Amino acid sequence: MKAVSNAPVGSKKRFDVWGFIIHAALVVVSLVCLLPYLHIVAKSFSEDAYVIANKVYLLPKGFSIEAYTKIFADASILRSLYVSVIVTVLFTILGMIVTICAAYPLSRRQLKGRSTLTFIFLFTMYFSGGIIPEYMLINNLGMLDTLWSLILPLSFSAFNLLIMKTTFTHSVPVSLEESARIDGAGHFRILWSIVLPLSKPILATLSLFYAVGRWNAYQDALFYIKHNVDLRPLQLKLYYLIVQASESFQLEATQVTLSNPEVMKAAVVVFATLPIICIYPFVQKYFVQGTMLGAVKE
Amino acid sequence: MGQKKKASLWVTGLALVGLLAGCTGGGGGTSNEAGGSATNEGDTPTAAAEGFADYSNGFPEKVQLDIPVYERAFEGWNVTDNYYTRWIQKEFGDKYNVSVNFVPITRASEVTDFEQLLASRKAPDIIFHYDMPQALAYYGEEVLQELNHDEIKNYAPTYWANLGETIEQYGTIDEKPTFFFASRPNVDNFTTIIRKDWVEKVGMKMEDLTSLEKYNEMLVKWKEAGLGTTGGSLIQNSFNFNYPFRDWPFDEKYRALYSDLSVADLTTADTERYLRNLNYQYNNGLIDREFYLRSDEPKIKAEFVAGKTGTFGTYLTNNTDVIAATLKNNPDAEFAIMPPYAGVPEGREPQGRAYWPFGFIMGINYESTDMERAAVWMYLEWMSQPDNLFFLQNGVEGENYTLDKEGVAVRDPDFKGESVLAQNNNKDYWALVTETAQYPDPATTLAANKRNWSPPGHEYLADDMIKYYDEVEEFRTPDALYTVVLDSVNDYKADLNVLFQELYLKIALAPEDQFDQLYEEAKTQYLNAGYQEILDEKQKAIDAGQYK
Repeated sequence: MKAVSNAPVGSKKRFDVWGFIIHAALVVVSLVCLLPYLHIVAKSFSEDAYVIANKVYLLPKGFSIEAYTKIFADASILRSLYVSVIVTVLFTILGMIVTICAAYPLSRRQLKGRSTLTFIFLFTMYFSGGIIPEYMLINNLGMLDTLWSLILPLSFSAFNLLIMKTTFTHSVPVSLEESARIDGAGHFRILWSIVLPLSKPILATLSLFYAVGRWNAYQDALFYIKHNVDLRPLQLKLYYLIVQASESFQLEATQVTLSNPEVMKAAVVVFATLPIICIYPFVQKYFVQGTMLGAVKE
Repeated sequence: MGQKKKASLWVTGLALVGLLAGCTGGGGGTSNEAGGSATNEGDTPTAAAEGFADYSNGFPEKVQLDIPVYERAFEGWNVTDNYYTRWIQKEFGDKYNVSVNFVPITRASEVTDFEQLLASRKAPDIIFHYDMPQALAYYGEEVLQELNHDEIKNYAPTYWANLGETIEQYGTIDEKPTFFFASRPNVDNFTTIIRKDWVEKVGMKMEDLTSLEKYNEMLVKWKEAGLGTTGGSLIQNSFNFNYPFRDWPFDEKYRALYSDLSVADLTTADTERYLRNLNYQYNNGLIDREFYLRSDEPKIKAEFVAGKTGTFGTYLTNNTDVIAATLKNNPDAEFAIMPPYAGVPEGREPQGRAYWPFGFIMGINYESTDMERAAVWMYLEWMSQPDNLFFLQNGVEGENYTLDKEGVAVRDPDFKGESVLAQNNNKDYWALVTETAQYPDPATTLAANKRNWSPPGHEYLADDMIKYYDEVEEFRTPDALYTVVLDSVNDYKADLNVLFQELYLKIALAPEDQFDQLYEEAKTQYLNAGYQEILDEKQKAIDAGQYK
């Protein structure tokens, strides 16, 4: 028997300094993202005594799943998960409909004044009313303490519109549209049967942008959902769990320990992040394709 | 191209007109509503003069009573809808035709929450705070209506009997009756736990800790033995750090001028003594090297539990996790209560800040109607009834608790049924009338408190804490309370708090030979940044006798 070498014939592997640096940098950056999450996961499976003492780093100490049992026994957390799911789904669907309906006309040459319209959309990316006017607007519209306050205001994103418009302009050849028109197709038919099927990657990407953005946001909920605790999305619930009793209140006579266990907090963080982590791998292939779209002009 | 430009101008113009129109519409609506609420306010005195309507059989129309309640995000607890909120609705609301709605107020950002609710005109009927300066800030914003003490007396005689005196003494601002209160019985369970095994390991006894000098001596020994340091934390609010460094007996006016929980005093000799000690401890490695990073309780606790620091200030409670967690990490640990003298320089007294005799400071929302206000008084009256209060504090007998032979409610810690109490024994509901649970006689109250304060297996800690609390009773005095709004405090306190943090740390962390120079510079900077204006305004109020 002859020993078979796996090394490619005729190519002598050379040490590539830049390759090494790039790889090293990538490893460092990935670790920067990964380690904090691993740390939280480790905490969520540890015993409280070690977590309080800051002794848990990347591996759980004194393994325990009590915190997760508590999460699933806590109706308010499950209720928040439900709210988050409803809001995210509605928000993403609505956001995509609005964005497509704006992006398609703006990408067609037939539309007069489309650069002005685009500029008006663009303008909102540079200047906005700010938090207080927005809050007053939502209040005057009677949307405080309703799910709509979490769905409507952010459902249109000028940034996503611009990405989609550019993609529509460059990825769908005009001749394709013209041939459809010759066959008697109207705008809706062209959009539905030609443009959208050809733009699946960008649709997947922007849906993900919308969904992840909505899932992770809590600030608007913090302002808009006050009276009705049943409408708190998961991230807001998480916010309350984390910030509560993070300082001691000297004027308040306290006869009991007021903070939630650290392990519990870590477990809720993991619980809130898990859905996104589960979705990412499935959408990722579109995601890579999609963000590249429109980047190169032929 | 020209046409295109014109069109774009046209469209932009249209958009702008639309925006402006939107603004006017909103403004108009608001001013109309404001007019409506002004009428409500105007009604108050007339109604009072004519006597008070009788609502003892219920209100003629459904009254929406919005009661604020602290949201502490306890796991598994819905703060606005639970067994007890439903019970309150059934027992109080249904009886008087009132719909009792609880408005959650985040404990850690309560002022922001109240301000937002006020801005959207959805604030509850009661606006409360624990701290007088902030309560006065609400008053200064004109979001509280003037009260009529006779009206409270009429609708809430029991509540008035309990608190009328306090309300009359402290509740009037600028000669207008504004605040009403919850009572604050004279108890406190905030204390400092120390590692007794460390004290003994360096050949000392707890009784040796009779002064700050002795305490520092012990810290040196801890360091030499490689045990650890004293715990420390960042000073960021409730500025009462220099009381043990003050002269005794004190000058009343001096104390009125310089004691303020919301604005730190950096300029007095008292603070200088405090800072010198801190600087000494830091430069000699006697205090947690990174004390300035310990900005909240979990961070301070982490050091103690891990066995890196030997002291930890906390509320001593029977459900505290600090003892068990420390033992898990350091099985040999023993604990004691730090004697109050250990933080006091020789020749001085263990002075402290006594609480004012009230807990919650409350005012009525300026938008509340006469009926809503009456409903508030009736709610307080209803809650002041001992049976109702006891039920809210303890739950259902036989389920949540059993009565022992002293008459103290002994809780079943494992009870998880429908009537389970919030983790702080429902305090956020009953704190409107009292700050701590009371029994008819002091002995039973003490017995009940001891139960709440004693960590299992370490009951002596609660005993020692009470012993020390009583020992230094005479040196604990309340701060002055101003009866006018101090505008400069509201204007400058946020900026001064930030500046104080920067300056005191710079001084504390400096090498010892630079202390004097840095401290002098810091004093000037602090005074110029607004503290002098505060002092001037306070001095004027003191000279005019506008404080209690």
